[in-house]
Amino acid sequence: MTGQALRGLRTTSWAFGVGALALVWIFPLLWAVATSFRPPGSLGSQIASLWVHHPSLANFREAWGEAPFVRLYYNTAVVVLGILAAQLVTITLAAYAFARIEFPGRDLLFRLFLLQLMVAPSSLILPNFVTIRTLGLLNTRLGIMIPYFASAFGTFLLRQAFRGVPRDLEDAAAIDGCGTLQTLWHVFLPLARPTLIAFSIVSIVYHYNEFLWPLIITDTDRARTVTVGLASFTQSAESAAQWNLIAAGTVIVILPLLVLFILFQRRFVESFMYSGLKG
Amino acid sequence: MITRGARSVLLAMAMLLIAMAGAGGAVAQGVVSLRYYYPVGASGPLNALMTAMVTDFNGSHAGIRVEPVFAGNYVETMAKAMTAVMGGTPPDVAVLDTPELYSLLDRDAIIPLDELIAKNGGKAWLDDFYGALLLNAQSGGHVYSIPWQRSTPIFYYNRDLFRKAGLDPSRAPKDWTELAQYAEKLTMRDSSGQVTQWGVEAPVADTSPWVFQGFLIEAGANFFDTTSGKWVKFNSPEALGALQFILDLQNKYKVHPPGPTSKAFWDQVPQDFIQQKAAMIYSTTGNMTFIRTNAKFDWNAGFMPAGKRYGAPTGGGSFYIFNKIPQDHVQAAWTFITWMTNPAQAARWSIGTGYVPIRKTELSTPAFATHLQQAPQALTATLQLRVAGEQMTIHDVDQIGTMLVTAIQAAQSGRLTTPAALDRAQRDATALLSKY
Amino acid sequence: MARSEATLPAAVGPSIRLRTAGQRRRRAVQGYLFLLPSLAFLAVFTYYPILTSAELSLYRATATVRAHAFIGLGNYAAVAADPVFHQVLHNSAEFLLGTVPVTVALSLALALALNRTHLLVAPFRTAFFYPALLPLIGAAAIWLFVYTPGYGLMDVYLRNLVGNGANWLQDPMWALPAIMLVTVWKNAGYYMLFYLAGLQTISAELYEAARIEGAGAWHTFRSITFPLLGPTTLFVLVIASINAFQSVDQIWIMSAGGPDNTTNVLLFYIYQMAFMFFDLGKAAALTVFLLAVLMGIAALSFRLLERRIHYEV
Repeated sequence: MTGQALRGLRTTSWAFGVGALALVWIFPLLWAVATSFRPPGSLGSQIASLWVHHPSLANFREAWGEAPFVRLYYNTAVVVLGILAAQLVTITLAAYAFARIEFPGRDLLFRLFLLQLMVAPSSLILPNFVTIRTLGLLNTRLGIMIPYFASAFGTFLLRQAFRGVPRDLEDAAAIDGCGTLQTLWHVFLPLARPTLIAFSIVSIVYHYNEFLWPLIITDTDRARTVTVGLASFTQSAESAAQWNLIAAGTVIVILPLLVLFILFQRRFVESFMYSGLKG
Repeated sequence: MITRGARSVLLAMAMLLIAMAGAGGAVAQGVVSLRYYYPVGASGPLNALMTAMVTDFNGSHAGIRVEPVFAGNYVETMAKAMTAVMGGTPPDVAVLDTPELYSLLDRDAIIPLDELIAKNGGKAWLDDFYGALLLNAQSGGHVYSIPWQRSTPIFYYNRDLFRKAGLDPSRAPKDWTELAQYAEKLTMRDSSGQVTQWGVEAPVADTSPWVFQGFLIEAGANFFDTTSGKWVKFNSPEALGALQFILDLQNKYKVHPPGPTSKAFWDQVPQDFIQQKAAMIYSTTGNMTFIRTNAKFDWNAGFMPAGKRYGAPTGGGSFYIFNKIPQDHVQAAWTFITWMTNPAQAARWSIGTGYVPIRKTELSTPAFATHLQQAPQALTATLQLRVAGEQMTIHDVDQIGTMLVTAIQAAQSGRLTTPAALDRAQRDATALLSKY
Repeated sequence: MARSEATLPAAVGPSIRLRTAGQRRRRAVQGYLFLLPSLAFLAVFTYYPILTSAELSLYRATATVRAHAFIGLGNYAAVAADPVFHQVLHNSAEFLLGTVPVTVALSLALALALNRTHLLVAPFRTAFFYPALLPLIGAAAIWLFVYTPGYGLMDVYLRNLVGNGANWLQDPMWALPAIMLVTVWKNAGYYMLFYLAGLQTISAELYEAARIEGAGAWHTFRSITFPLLGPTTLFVLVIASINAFQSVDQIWIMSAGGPDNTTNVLLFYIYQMAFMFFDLGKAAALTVFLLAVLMGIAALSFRLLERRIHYEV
């Protein structure tokens, strides 16, 4: 077999192998999409099939009316991006301090930071609820966000990245008359871009998925996030699961993100592939 | 010429004033604003209906504004309410799972409603509510809750499958013996011996032992302290008999899926019914609309087949008014509750959701009469109320409920024998209750 | 302002030293100021709650207000004697060891498989990553259907392969693995992205050299790829471990800790204790225990990561 043919065969088997696994991965979504188009009252024996005989938009109409998705999405965007923005500020300052500034107690403080590495504020719901209430931030987006403004994880990551910045560049910037903040902005942050992107992904995915904390903190859709909105579909305490409705609600929630991801996938993945994730 | 300093001060004062005005909120003078937590007990249209009803109330009551707060399912709503209470900001009124009575009393979270009831017609008004629903609304001679979205488990059966099996489709099996007999005829297996159709499915233990309590009541078991919620008796001979019957259905007659029943099973059972994978099921009356919409076969609903007697636990949520809220809030909350539970509104809720009618005069509203013509089974649960028993309402009800659930599951999985499982539940529960 | 190294005058020496004590002090103050925002939030929302939890753990604080009393280590004793707690520990360990290595290994394999140019790579990447975009509460609801016996997706489509499946979420043997599978499904594509990034850092020349020397695929992986992915692997391990301890939404939705406590893990047990049983003292004791475990893992991974860095540099 020629080299080319052999490569072609290998590529084909790769495509099939990975494709089969991808199909398994995507199967639940395919089913959800199919079910969301199935007309209400048709949860018959073909409930597991991917084929829809008489597609209908009725479920979407009903699901759309069930929860104010646009508002919830807006809130989620504000919460997730707001947390990220605040985190980027706090971790940049803290990481620089740990990486480049000498001050007494530095190591001790760093170890203190690490305490939070694995402890999310949501493990401490009750005390944090009381604090949020005392601050008068119940049922606000800020109330959901504020416990997360500091991030030991982000500080740790960024400190690693900052430590890898060549001193020469720092010195050059200083010679040029840059103060600390300017050096941070012009030298450190650009070089730490892959780390920042990696951290941003982690932060966004984590906070976007959070359910229990926003549920406890918020009362109304004024500040609620998409996860809590979905709950009104999925949390059926006394009745059977309305699969059509749940599926439609889920599709509504994931669709914008999926579209965004598909469109920007290349740029997004490649942008933090640049110098990769160095230590 | 305003100095820079003075300008800053003026600016600060202006901002403070604006902030304070903003903090006052959009509520006009003299309007009482109530926070009302409610669970979605059934998915989908419930939320919309509740919001519509609250909007109607707000529209017709100028001095009150109820803010409906969807709070998840019963567990989550209770968690949210208790968190708020313990954090010092209780809601004003909430629909909570009725048996949470003692958990709320222990936290001084709720107020007795006797005075409010007295001013609203007293015993005569209260008597219009079905007695069974009020059983666990009371303690120590006081009434603490008003029934709202209540239910009982009922027995759904597939008449087409009955006919196919040569059984009389006009009625459900009347007792446990008949249930086992019918189920044996209704359990179908394929050539390889795998079951394609189960005779009966009963989600006796998911996150709460609700359906199991029906069996306990029917077995004649006196399994908890109905006066003050301080003791339980899970290992009486009657209780053992009830659990053993379930296990027999699974292991001896093999007409019920084997193994533990758990949270997922609760959702699965009505699905199995409409898929015709189960010929007879126990499920809440709250599922009736779902079954009616999706079952493409002839079906009916009846009482849970009797043990020594007919019986079923009541279930669902009731209205509670919270403690430590201003007096005008209490009054407004009571106005809200009495409006929601008036026959017309209660009928509206019951028709739209499938929850049991909560008061006798509801049945005679024109809306309900029409509804009954289209959905005669809607009356089954109401009729069963006559033989219904009180749902287990005790201190630490959630924790003890979980103990009973894990005991049932342990017996079902074979990890413990029936007596050992119930003994363990009894031991653990008694230890927990010893402090009361 | 930033200049590339190529244009720097060669005469620039080491970092500017702070000569005077005054300068050093000002610099130190700057350090504290930079830390202040983070410390403020950490203090209010992490340290203070930890302290109040620790304090509360010494009290009997149950649903009954009247019972509130100082009981020292009583809650800890109760927890230690609680058979459910032992089950919870066992389940948590099983969950951690079952999901973390599997997901990380799988994500690495996926990254290796998708580290090439082909039209199908982009859609494949989407197929594996999208579960991360699905809120856990939505995903769990769908998986409830997947696991439904008889006509659920798992049984219907795998019947040809495995015959009649078990009652996945209700069989004490299969319930936890079933939930672990959902976790793996959700996270593998997410960690895969980090590995894809990491793979980009390995210069093609190294692979060329290996190829020229006749190294096989496995050998190349073992001696080049995997070692150079060290930092990425540790990063992913840390995130995966955090996830293993902190994402309990799927348990909340799918099994509520059952059947018979076989899917009850530490954080879920804490939620159960605090929000369903309202035994706040015991919940606080369990929280303190969880914190101790987490901090131990954090300390361990920190040490490993530090050592890794020195190795790299």
